[in-house]
Amino acid sequence: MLLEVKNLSVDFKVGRQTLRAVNNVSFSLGERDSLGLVGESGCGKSTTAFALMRLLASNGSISEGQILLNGVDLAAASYDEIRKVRWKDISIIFQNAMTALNPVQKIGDQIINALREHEDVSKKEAIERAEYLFERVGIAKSRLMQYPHEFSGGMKQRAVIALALICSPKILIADEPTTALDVVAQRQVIELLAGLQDEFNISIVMISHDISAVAEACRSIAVMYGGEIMEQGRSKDVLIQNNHPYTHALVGSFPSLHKPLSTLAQIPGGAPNLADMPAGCPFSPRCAYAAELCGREKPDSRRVRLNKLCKCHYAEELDFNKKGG
Amino acid sequence: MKKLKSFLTNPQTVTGLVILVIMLGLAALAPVICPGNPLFSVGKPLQAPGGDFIMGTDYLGRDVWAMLVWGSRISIIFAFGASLLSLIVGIVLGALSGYIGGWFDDLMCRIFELFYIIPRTFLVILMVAFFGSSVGLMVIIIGITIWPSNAKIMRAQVLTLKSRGYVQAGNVAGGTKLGILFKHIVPNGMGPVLSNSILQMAQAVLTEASLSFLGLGDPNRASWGLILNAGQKHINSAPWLVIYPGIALALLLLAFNLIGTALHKTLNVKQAAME
Amino acid sequence: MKFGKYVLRRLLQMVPVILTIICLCFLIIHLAPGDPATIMAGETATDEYIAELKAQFGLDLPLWQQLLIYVKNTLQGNLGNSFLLKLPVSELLAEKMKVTLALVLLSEIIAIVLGTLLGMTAAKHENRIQDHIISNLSMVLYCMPAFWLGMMLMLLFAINLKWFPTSGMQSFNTPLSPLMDMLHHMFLPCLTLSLIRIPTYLKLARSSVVEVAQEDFINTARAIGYSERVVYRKHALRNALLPTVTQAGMSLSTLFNGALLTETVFSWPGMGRMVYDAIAGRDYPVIMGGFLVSAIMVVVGGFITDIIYMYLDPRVVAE
Repeated sequence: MLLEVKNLSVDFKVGRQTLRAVNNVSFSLGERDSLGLVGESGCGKSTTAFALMRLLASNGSISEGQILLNGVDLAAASYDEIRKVRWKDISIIFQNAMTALNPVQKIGDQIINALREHEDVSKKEAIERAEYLFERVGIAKSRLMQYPHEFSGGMKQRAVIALALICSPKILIADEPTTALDVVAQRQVIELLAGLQDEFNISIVMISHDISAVAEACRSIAVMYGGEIMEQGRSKDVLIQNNHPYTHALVGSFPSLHKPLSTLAQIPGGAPNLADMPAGCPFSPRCAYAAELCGREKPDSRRVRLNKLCKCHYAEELDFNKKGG
Repeated sequence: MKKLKSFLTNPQTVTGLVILVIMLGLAALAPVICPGNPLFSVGKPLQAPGGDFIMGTDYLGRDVWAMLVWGSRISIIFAFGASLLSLIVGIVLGALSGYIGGWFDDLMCRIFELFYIIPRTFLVILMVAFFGSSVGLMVIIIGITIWPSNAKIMRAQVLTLKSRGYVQAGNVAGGTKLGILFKHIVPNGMGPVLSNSILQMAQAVLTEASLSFLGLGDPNRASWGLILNAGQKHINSAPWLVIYPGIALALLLLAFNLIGTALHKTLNVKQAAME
Repeated sequence: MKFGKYVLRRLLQMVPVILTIICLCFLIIHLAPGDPATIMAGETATDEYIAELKAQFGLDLPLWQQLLIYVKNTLQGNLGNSFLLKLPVSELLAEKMKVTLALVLLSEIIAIVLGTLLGMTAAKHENRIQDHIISNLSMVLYCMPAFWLGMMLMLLFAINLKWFPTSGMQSFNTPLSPLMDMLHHMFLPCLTLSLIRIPTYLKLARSSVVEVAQEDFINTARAIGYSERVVYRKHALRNALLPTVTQAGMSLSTLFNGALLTETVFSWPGMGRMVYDAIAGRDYPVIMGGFLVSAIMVVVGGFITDIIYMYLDPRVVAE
């Protein structure tokens, strides 16, 4: 396994309180694999991804668990070790491509400097590689030495992808890579990422609140809620044969070409308050199917299908198979 | 209300208010604390602090403490006089500039820029040198050289509030345009202008002290700058002449700056033109 | 080519501003009580000199013609004669301006460097003890009148400790080389001006570093694996310095105000000291010339700042 995350928990210190933003999360990622982390905002999906690169804010820390990259535990690595892993092994495309680039440095220089930080290559070779990537993501290489303000939004998004790939990382984290774009550009970016995955042999961790988009792009999906993974498995199994009420609600909240608009449902309530989590299942206050047991006892994650884990007391009984699709 | 409470209870405001109240007390009670004309000679020249004169005497044998107490009046007059003038001029011109727009607004903006460029102390010196240095005249001169920052802030406030529907509401209620501007828009945009005005009080006090220090003040009235001006010439032999009035001056400036900055933060105003 | 156009446009913008400043001087002379000729010549001037001035500035002509003549004369560098020193004001100013600029620019550079470093330190420890100490000290310093701070420093370091001379720019019979001697004299006035200017840059650097540190591209730089030093120096600092450059350009007028008072305290023989002497002797052409030249210097300084800014921030030219 390329990446194995075992029982990862992340805590944040806010004032005198310690808040658990990610709670006992486990998943794995193979070579040329792809995983989608899905959930509403504030569910811990971005925090999980940032923790992989140890990019947590100064008040956050990994309190438990392991992040094994080819068997080496990144959670226990020193600062200098982790700096070597960043970009070389794991790189990231941040949510907002519009502001992810330094406004006063030429884009080409930003890409070349990133490469030369990790690899001992000549400037000439660095430029050649950057130019190759620029053409590969669909920007004329003559524009390499321009400033971010000279690029359109879509071009910046592509430039950010080129920047993320310059060191040929093993894993690419894409944090909401399509949110800021229009529908056509979204599709192009998803297709571009898929193509690049084949060419560069990378594994992708994609973060999104749009479960159907992720299901198309990724082999497997982990649905997160209140810092926990509620349901995870192969994309098809999670999207169509969902066993968890939250996944079901999430699928229902997005428009799809296959469904009439009238079935579009909003999930009542908002993301849970980390400072005041319910005693039992974190989703129980908002769950349409919650019973007395749900508010009292936390469900364990267990295998409900060949390729799927689910964290719900009534996973077996609640089969949304027939209603969905 | 909650904001007001947090403003009034924070240590910065409290420190500032305490200093300010003491200064106001000195200014108000000057005839009681130090009866008689402070500019009359009462002792031997250049007497060190102690004995009859807790802050010593100057080169003419005048009591430094008495001059300092009476001098606080001048500083307070300048602080409130000049900033009030600047406030009125700034609000009226700034509000009109934002409300009328067009060529008038363009002209006003050019004037704001011009005032930013001109070295203010030089301009004030020039005007005081030409027009005279009586207290009233100097208050006016300082007032009319610091109004642009108030006007700039008021203009921005009017532009924001105009787009928020105050105007429509006023139109419905039926009123003249100027009535709407000064009854509905201006009062709602006063906050940032007021906090800037408090900072301007410090500016006015400092400018007056600088002018007096340079010898441009009114020589017939006791002021801190006047003591400092004399003190500079005797700094070798009588350092108390520059130490005490300077401390008083710095404290008053600190008070205005502390209160102004705290109000600024409370109102969450972005960095205003503070020069 | 874009750069050339920008520079040219910016140069042209300076013309009306400078003309306005000259007109303002004209306005003040004519608004002042008394005869303009007397104001320009001095109360002790001879009748011949007043007659000469009247002819030179066309003081018997209609006002608008006088204005044109005044603007023309000023642009040609004819600022009248000092009636105390009996010399052309322009010559005096050219001489004194160098001395003032040496003091003022050196102090400003020191203030920018120290202020920015302290501001960055405060920002790094935002809302912690270091930040509170730095910010409160800065507030106290901000409230110090320049001339009083100067006198206090003089009292301590020149009069009591005798480390530095109290006044002037040069001394006779000194073992020091001329340059070292000048720096020795310059130390206290320079320290005064630097100290009072530090809070401005400190406050600015603190807030802009705090702001820039939250920008997304800083996260990108960290994710790339740059060390914290590189993140701060190469990515945060240059962006955080942009407001400082603007401030430096805008505060030139404040600088001349400070120079006027500090030069007076330390008898530094620059423009400020000259204007102070002129005030005492009511030497109006010198005061007027000092005002005019410093205002024009501010305009030119603003222009230079904009050019520097243009190199630091490529977005400016695009707008």
